[in-house]
Amino acid sequence: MTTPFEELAGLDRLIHEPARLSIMTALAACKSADYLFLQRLTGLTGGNLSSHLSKLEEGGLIQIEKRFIDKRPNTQVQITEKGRIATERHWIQLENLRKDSQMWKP
Amino acid sequence: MRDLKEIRFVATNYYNLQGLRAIPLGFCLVFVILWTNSLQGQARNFLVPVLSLIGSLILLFAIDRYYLHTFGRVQRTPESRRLEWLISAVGGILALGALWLDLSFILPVSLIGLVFSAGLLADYIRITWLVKGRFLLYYPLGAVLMAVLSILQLLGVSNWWQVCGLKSQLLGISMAIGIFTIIAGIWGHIFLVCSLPSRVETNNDHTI
Repeated sequence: MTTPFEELAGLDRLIHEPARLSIMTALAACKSADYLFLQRLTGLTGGNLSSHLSKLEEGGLIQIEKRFIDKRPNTQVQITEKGRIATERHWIQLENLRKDSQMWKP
Repeated sequence: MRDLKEIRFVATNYYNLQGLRAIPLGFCLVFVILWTNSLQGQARNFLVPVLSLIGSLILLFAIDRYYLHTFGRVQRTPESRRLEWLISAVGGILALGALWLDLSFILPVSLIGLVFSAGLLADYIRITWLVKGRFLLYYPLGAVLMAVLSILQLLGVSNWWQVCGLKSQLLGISMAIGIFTIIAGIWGHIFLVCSLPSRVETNNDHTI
């Protein structure tokens, strides 16, 4: 049986960071979203959002596609199957942790 | 935005929250109702409905560009798209049937109003299916108001539409639908704007 600390330490840090969790949560709820939408939704600066997206892409959790729509550059972000599974698993872990924490003794 | 539940809700229902899209359609309906109400005998000049429709389509195009360039683009999941198509198709068939019955018979209730009310409820359940919460309360509120309005005559309030200066129950209900569409559109847009952070973060580079 794992201890509460082990459970907490076992969380995927790549997803657990609040901004990245927001991004992954949003992407898991749709097929894809563009850069502007994610920026408006999370309130992150352009630089920070790019950095978070790069980390998620490196981890294979999202796919980034750059293209032109009406002669304007557009960055489309899509969650991968691995990312979807990881996000769902993370939510289950958080939910279990929340339930377990109610039984923890000081 | 801090609440992850709200993030999921906005991402899932981004298209539905683009409320300004509904406003030109609502105004188009109101103008067409006013034009129909002003008719004496057979209509000969269709300039008003045609101009209303063209104006609405142009405005719809402009609003679409506004959302695209201000809030960005989201592609819905195939499941969400399928469900919306199914509800739209079933709702459309029921609405046409109800309209035909309303026009063909003198009924104590407005069937088109009841179908619209049921449609709002069905859409509300679809929207809040994945994400529970007290979001978009104007859907059930509108459904109840429309249902009450549809059975007002049955409840003994006869010719209520004449108080509004309209000639028939169908025109009264259609006007109510048009006004509701405009109000719901504004409400949806305000909800979307309030759901998003008003300004971008500052000095939180340590989160990376």
